[in-house]
Amino acid sequence: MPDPVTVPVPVPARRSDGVPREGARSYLDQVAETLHRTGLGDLGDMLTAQRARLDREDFTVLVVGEFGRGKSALVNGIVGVPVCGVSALRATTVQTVVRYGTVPRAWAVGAPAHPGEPPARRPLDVVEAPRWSLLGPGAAGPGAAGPGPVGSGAAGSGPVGEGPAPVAVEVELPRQLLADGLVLVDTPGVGGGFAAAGAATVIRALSLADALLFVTDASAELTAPEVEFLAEALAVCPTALAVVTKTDLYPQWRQVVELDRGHLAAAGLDVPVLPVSTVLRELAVDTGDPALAAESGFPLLVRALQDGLRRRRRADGCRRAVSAALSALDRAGAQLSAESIALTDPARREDALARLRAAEQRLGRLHGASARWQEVLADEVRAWRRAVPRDLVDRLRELREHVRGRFADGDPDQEWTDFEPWFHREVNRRLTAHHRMVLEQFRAGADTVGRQFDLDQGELGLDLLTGPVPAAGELTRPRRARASWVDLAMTAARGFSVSGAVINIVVVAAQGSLTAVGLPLTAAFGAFFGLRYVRGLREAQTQLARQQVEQAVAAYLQEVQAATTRVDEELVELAYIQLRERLGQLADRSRRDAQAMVAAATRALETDTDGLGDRLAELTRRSRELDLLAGRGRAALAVVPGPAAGTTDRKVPS
Amino acid sequence: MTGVGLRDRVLALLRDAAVVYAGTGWQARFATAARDVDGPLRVALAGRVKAGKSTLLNALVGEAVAATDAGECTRIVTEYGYGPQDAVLGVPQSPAAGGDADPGPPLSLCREDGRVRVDLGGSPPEQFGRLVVTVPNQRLQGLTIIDTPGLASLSGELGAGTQRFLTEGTADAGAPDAVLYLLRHLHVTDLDFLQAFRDPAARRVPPVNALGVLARADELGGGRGDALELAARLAAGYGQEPALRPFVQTVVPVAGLLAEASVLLTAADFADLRALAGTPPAVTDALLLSADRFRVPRRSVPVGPDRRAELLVRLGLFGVRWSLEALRRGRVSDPEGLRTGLSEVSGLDGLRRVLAAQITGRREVLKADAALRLVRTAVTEQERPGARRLAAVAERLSLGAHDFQELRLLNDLRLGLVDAHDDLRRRAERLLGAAGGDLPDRLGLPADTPVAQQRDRLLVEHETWQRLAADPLTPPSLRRACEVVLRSLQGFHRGLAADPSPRAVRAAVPQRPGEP
Repeated sequence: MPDPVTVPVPVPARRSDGVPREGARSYLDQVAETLHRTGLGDLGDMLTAQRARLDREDFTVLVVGEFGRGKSALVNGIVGVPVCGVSALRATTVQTVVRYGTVPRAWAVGAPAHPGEPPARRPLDVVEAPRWSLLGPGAAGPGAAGPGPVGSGAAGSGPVGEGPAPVAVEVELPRQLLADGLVLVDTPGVGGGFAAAGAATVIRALSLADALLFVTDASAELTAPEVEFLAEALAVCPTALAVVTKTDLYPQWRQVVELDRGHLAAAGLDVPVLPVSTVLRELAVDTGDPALAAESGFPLLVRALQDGLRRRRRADGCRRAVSAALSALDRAGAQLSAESIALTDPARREDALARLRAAEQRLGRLHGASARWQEVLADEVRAWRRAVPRDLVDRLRELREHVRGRFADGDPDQEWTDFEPWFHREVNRRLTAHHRMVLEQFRAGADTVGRQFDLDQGELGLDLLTGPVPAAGELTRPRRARASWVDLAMTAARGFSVSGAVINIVVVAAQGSLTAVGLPLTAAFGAFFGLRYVRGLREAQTQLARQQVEQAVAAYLQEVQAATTRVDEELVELAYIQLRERLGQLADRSRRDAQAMVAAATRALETDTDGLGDRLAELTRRSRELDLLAGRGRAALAVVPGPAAGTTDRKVPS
Repeated sequence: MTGVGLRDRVLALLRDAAVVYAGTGWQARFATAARDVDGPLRVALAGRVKAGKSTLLNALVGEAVAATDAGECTRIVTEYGYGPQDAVLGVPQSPAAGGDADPGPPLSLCREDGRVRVDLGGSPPEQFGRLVVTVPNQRLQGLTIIDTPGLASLSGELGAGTQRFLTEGTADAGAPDAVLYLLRHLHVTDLDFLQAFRDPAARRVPPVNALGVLARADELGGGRGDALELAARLAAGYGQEPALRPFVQTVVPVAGLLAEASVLLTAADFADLRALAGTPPAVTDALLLSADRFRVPRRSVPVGPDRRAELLVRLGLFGVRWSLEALRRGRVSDPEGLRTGLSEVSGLDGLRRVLAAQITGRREVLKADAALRLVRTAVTEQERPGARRLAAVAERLSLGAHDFQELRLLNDLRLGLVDAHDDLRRRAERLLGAAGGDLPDRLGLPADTPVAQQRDRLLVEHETWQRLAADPLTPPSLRRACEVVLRSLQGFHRGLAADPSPRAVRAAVPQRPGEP
């Protein structure tokens, strides 16, 4: 048997775990248990449910790489059944999303009719799903500009004739591996790295994903375009794993894997490399032979995926879970305070109750359209709708000027020959920067709206609880430790509230795809950029050539702008809907909190004077207990670094 | 169909050009070109990193002259030509004008295990612009094969250097006369690269001398049994691909490793394969599951793991599977038979046929074309008294020789500049020699077709094209194409007419006035 391979696991770049996993878990259990004991069982239940939800939240892994490397076969290997189309002759043209479901099901997903709407889904026979992934809008896609393979067969011959070609295929499988929320997305390959048209589309999709699987094969070491692409991808999605496929076929696969590791290290990319063989995996699945399974490398890959997911849950999920616990403690504390205020000062009972009732009423207004945060949100969205297209236009105009300058000043022989890859790279660079700007807008906007929401809430009533506190009670309500609004912005960008977040990512990515946009440049270059031909041009011809190329560039950039604008509109809509729904839920919760406080205070009114001392003492004790717990939670949070799911705060090489 | 005296007229032009450009850098290049006219045909292998260029080179040469490895290994443009004995010459990067660049330690060439190895004597590879290796190999007589570093390589600027060499050549060595472009899956990098060859204005390095090779065909679809059939289908698809047609004449599938094995397979290899074939299939099937398993120590297997590992390096999994199958079915019984079988199934024979038909068969006109390209480039780049006259002579030469007309029309057909539907276009391409220069090839007949039958077909074709040319609805571009096709047919008819044949047939094709 071959030497055992050392097991690398994906290490999220520049991120530490902070709270140990077990610590977080037991902390949550403790908080829930304490809440139950304190008679605040409903808050405890809510917390438990929330934790369960966090544990199942989607962890989206995009499978990317050049075509023909075995991406689809890899996804099939991971889930153990063929769900993605695999063909030596045709390339994947439609993304396939594989996620958990209690029964195997599949859908063809079309583009949404309007931005912000959920994508149209049409049920498919699940065994047909693989065939669907081989057709689609870009299926013909030859042309020098297309990132896909050339001559991979014309579009058409397949289960078409049943409506428009889908932008994605979605498959649900009852696989234990996926039950934790792991979602795999098989993507059409990108050839030519970051210098290929359409690379920015993949980068954009990656910025919305949780992790990436970069697929290359054992037939050859990594090429320069592959490494360049991976570097750009890592800048937006730092949790990554490189997979070297087809190890069954190549005797020298170990050497290739070592070379790949060397290339990645030389490029400063901290990505583990895992060798796998889908052929052996299939055999292992069929025969149940554990030796074959081990040799296929898939157990390690699956473990690495799960580790990546768990790690993310630990870093992120843990922080969010602790935040949720703190919030629950906070609300519990508020109820206790309400009751104790009512108890401590009988003279203020009626007054306190009246104020609480008033607060309850006003908190109801947080929900309404007239709430101030709603106005701020509307303002922000308006600002997005203005700033986002403007940013895109500016960037592309600057590029157009740049191109013009390059033609005007450069020595044609030197400057023109390698124009096309340069041009695509520059387009991709600008689109990626633009996309980062969009996410940053969302982040900043959500922060502004969130702060206004806090203000509204405070103004409307919760401030009464920070009023004079009876000396004897020593009751201090824990400071509201709201998790940063950044979290909200991130999920807003991902559009989690709309059904099927991953589908949104996929649809967004596919819509912005430039593969369908023919590059008018190719024709112009064919005519004008023969390597040595340029030298022989007369001045007038050169002038004409310049004009033609500038026109071609302008026309192409217009297409780019149109495609990107469509995606931007979609993203803005999704972010808006998401923010509105999330804050609406929070407003709802605040109102229910106020109701609970009124109920607590009312309970206090009914307490007879004899039991008053005991009750107050108990409240104080419980409140201390909650404080203590909250203090530990806050200490833990302080150790965990900022939002790990964020993409906007990642350092990106310029 | 070779223009009478084309070579002499081209040589005269080059001599003339050397006088006109005396004292400039062009003088030496014209001298080189004049020498090249009678020199071997220079065919370059190009493609992305690890496309299998060196492997295919070894197969074509029939000897392990180029190093092959799992990693990237060709780092210097290396020419392999014929010489009475093994020798290697290093041409320094951009030789100084004075010509006294430091030659560095001498290079040496040695053979280990039947493989040729070049020792750079400790010099860094970047120091060399080119290596010239000569070996006493009959296949290299009249044919120089040039191995190039891969494109999209991670080791620096190799790709760009290759591209420059292939399209422009260097001061002391012209650009190759033809290029075999190795593809795996067709990739954007490939098209970028091919684009550089294309030059509609000057028609230089046109598709007529570029062939596509779908290399590593045995690895398609994970190296399953149907890999070669898949490769054939894929190659056929590429051959008709509009994006690719302007760049290469045709795409030929080749399983490079099998092709190499067909010439390097030793008697010991064969004995091992036969021993393996003698064991029950269940045993070998278990071994053949993966490359790793094939090298596992097993006492029940008569061939030791080290020897099996060597077989694997030589043949690959697909090759081993194929060989065992062939042995078990009794299709081959001796080393020679296995070599022949591998050569056929690998596509090497097919590639050789296409090469002979398209490249070496057009030797003279390709050489002449390369020389005319050089003259045109010089004239456009540097004004000299007398340069205009040179250009005019070059123009007359290329317009006058029918071979050039054929080449040009083939290009136009490939570039889609002729207004004809696909069937007609393919037919015209075939008649112009796209599938082989001999008459039966051009007529789409088997090579052993009797002359009378060839003549009949030829007359049918002649009539078709004549009618098309006379049709007032035929678009001008197609009418011009018809004229070239008709001239080719007439030329062949005269060749046939030299045979004893009925008078009536000869009379059917009118002689053109002014034809020699």
